[in-house]
Amino acid sequence: MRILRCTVGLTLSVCLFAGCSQQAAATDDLIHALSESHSAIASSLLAIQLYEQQRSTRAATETLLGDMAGQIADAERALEPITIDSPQLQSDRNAVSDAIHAGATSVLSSRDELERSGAVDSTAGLESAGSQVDSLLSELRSSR
Amino acid sequence: MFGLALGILTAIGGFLDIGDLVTNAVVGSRFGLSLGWAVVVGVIGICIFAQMSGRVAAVSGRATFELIRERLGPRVAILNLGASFLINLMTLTAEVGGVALAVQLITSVSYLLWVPLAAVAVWLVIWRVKFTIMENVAGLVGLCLIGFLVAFFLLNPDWGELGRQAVQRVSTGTEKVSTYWFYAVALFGAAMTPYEVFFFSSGAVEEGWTVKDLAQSRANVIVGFPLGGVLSLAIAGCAAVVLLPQLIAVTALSQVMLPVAQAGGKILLGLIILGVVAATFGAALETTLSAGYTIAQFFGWSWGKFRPPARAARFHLLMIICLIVAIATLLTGVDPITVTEISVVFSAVALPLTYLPILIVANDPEYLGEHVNGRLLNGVALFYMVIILVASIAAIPLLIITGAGQ
Repeated sequence: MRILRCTVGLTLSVCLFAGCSQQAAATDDLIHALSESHSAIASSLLAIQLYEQQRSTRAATETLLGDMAGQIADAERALEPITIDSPQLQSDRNAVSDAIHAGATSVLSSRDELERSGAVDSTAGLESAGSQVDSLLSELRSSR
Repeated sequence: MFGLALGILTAIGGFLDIGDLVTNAVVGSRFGLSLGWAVVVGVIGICIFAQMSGRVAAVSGRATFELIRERLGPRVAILNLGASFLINLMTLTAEVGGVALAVQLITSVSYLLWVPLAAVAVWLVIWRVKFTIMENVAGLVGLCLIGFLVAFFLLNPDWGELGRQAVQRVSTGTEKVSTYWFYAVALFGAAMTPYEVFFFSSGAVEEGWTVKDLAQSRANVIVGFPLGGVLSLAIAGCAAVVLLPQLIAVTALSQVMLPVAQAGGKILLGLIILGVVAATFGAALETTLSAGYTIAQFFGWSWGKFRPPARAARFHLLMIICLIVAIATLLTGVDPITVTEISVVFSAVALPLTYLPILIVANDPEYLGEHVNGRLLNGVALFYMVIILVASIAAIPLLIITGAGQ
């Protein structure tokens, strides 16, 4: 009887520990995806700023925006396999997914604009997506 | 004097390849200058390694793999050959991808379209251009990468902060200790890529070096490589000054150019892109030739650019096959930067296999007579053998634990 109780206790502890570490791993994955997105958005903003200041070429800027669009799309895809086992994590993932999606859209539209007209009229979309990503990043880091 | 200056300049210009460019920028953007020590350790290592293999080639008149097979026997040497050849092929793939990525920065046309053209251009140069012209032009145009040093000074860095970074581990706060060590091994592998040594020693045979050329060979290595190492540190420094404070982690070659554009505008940017094309193209030539050298020397085939292609047909055919493999690999869509990062780590893994035989031959009076290693050099070389072994053993576990530095 005592052995049975110990076994059940041990199993429950292991399950609890595994559940906690799975949740922590999921949060780490979300933070990683956000960090990648932050890096892509910040690179895009810097590249556009340098292009507007005539310090960089159109080809180099277009290439960078294309690369960053790819990077942020990879970050978005990396969210798909994350296992969700709590409403809190579900809500975090939705918020992260929305922020990254907004970033991806902004980077892509900046690249298209540059390819089409040779200039990026406004970086407001990128800046807003960047702030969204940054605030989620600090929120998730502090909750970890 | 002219030959000496030319040799040193080409050694500086030819020191950097896609592995150095990418790894130093990645490290600078994530750890600042706190891994600068790994570049210094790697540069001293490659100086010792290249100096020994250049001396072996100049004195014995024979190249690396011919001697490895003779000294270690075919069974041990085949292992050595297999590992070295595969890593060289991976590096060749990365270099061809690097040329294509650099051309994309000029044209904004997808690098995938440039991959076959870059590989054909490599083959044409190997087929038609004389060895010395090929080596000197790539090395001299590669000197444009001195622009990174110019950019670093133009950025007016906070020297106190960089000094602090150089003596203590810094990161963006999310980096793990294992990732730090992964990149230490990667930087070491990037500085001590085996192909550089195969090319250096086989090139000595191609150019007909003798004992009289030993002093020049030593000067090329001892002056040229450390100055090339300074450029590596400048790349990391540029990333540390501009990208690290904004938490931009480098994942693409285009990001490496941001600090350059910020510091020196379009002119410096153009100069650096030209330097990147030359450096990666030069390294693609060297790795392609190294692929031919290793196999041909091991099996005793006729080899070398000093022979007409018809008299070294298997050597040339092998290089064409390697270029086709590189094109096919890149056209699958695999990221050339990922190939580069993995190739530098595997360079560290395979390093003992080439370093140890050269160390053994460099101590063998039967091959080198009075030109065997001195006591001091042997002491340092043995110490490096230990470092190389540690890096080699740690590389794969670190690669797995960190998910290739993620």
